Amino acid sequence: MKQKISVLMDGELFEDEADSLLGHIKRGSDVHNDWEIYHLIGDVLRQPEHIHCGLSDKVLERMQDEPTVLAPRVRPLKQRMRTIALSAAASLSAVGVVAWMSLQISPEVAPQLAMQQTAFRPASMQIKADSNDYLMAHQEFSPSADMNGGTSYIRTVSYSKDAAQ
Amino acid sequence: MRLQVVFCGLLLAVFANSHAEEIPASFDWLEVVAFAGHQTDYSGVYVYQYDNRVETSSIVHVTQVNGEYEKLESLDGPKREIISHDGKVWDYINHKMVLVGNNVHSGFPSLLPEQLSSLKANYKARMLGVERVAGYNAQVILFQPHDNLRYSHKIWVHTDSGLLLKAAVLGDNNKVAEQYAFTQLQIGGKIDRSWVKECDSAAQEKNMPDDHKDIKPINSGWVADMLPSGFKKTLEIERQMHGRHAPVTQMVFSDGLSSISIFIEPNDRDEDDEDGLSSRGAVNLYHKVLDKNLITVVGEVPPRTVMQVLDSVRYNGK
Amino acid sequence: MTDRDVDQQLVERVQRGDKHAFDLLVTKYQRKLGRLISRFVRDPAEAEDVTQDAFIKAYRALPGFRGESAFYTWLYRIGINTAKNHLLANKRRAPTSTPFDAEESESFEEASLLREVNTPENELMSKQIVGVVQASLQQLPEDLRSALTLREIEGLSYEEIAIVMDCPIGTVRSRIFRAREAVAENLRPLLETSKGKRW
Repeated sequence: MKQKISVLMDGELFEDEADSLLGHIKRGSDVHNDWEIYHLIGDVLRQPEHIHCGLSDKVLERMQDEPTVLAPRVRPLKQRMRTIALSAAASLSAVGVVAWMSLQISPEVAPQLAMQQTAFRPASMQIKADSNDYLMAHQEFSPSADMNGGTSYIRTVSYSKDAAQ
Repeated sequence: MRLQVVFCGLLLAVFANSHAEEIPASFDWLEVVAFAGHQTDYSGVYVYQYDNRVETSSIVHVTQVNGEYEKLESLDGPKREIISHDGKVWDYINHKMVLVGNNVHSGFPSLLPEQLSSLKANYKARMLGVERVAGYNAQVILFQPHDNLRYSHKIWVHTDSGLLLKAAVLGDNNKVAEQYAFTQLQIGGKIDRSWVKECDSAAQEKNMPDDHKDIKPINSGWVADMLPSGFKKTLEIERQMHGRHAPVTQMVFSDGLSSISIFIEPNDRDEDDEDGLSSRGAVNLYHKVLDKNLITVVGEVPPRTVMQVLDSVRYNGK
Repeated sequence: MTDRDVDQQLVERVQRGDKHAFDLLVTKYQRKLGRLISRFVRDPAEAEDVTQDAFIKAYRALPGFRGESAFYTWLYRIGINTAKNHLLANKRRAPTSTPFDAEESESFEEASLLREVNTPENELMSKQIVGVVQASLQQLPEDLRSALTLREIEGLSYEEIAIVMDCPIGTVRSRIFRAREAVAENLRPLLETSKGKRW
């Protein structure tokens, strides 16, 4: 059971199993203690300051007085579908990346919008198309994409275009 | 019904008599921005500028039960549409989807704690007031490195939704290396999702570019002594790359905001041995042949940095 | 599934009338939300109250949460909103003179430690908990420690950890669990003595 909690909290149980387990974690039970303590360990690992926290007890107390909230079901009823595990050819990434692709246009096209911004750095030698592989391989692991909103740092994508051809 | 929260506007008013920098939430904004980008439904037009080029595109981003979907479309130049979901990227041409990229680890909902602590150690964050972008109020935040071996990053964050409205990478003398900005933006509301179905049926297919097979973590024995301070190795793998017989070693280093990749492979090209420095926007690339190996350094760092890093690459293994 | 999906499942349970599910969410996010709010509300006791308020507000607002954003983002915004309202209601102003120059302060954690005065008892408890966790980690066999670190700090999924550690996913699952349980075993007696509460 403890191992199931460990797997559940990482989101690695299939939805139907997770759902039935979640129904069994009541305050005061050993199972609940495990949920609490495993989360505590993770919090300590990530940020050891001001760890001691008795908040959840107090919130639970206040919740006794709250009327039960209800909301209509939003998602379609869960089917007993198991998500298909990703194939082993999946690429490895230590940081999240969502690559934004942009598109190459001919240099003669005038800007759609007059941007009276500070001067742009003078164009230096352009990265050639046959180096696109490196750019894409690098982009996979670049944190700035995720750092700035998940889909922000847009990089030109002739590298993707050329790779596809 | 999404709760509208004014992140900073009113708080700034409350703290009007004190310095804006006292609100110690600058790095928190990045977490908020990362979340918002992944979790918000939006649709708009943006302009991307770099190296005297300008590209205008439209983007739609929606979240469904099974993850995020994005569609980008060129609004100038040759017509091109791209759809991405779950790390996969397709070209959408003539109602046909062609898979062109596959990153498994996409859609990560927040900054990794290690990334955040690295960032805080290597950059100073300054809040620069509120400006208008695409008709919305945006909090401006500047991330400045301690040295000139990397770029500054300036972001404009919508005070209400946390979405990134504009971002610029700045080099020497605050010259813009690349910049992107929304000119039109609709947040939430009715957004057409009919194209999501095309994506789901394409996802059934199994073709994958061969770049992504056979990636494995290794200890290559190569090192780079002159990385700027604060850069840590985040990855060291061996991978197949298009058009090459031998596998390529890739090492990735990051300071939380910028990253540098070093690629090492046997040199079996019969082109000239000229050292090459080239760039695109904020990305610089430098390559050189060392003994019989071709070393390529790529990163969102200034040219002097990719050169310095490459010149310090050496083999330290058995 | 990711741990975000677990949140979504818990939210749906709450929306079907299961209050206990909300308790699980509070347990999971109490520290994170508390830290966020303490960035706006300096006094630790006040910050704790405001955090409690934020959770209760979130519970009441949950019927309106449609999963358009991650639960934590939504909770985060409620937290900031609650903190902001609290500050306005108490017409707090930041001190116009500060004991240190904001420009020169280092990382945020250090700055907050300088300014906050937590109760000695809580501080001691926190330090003890951290000490036990870190000591337990050191004692773990390398493969258990790595698996746990990759999961909790690097945020990798089991599949990704399996690739990095070059082992089957079942082994990853087992290593992470055994690491957690080994640390938990050392923590339980410590937490039990605190206020006689059973952990």
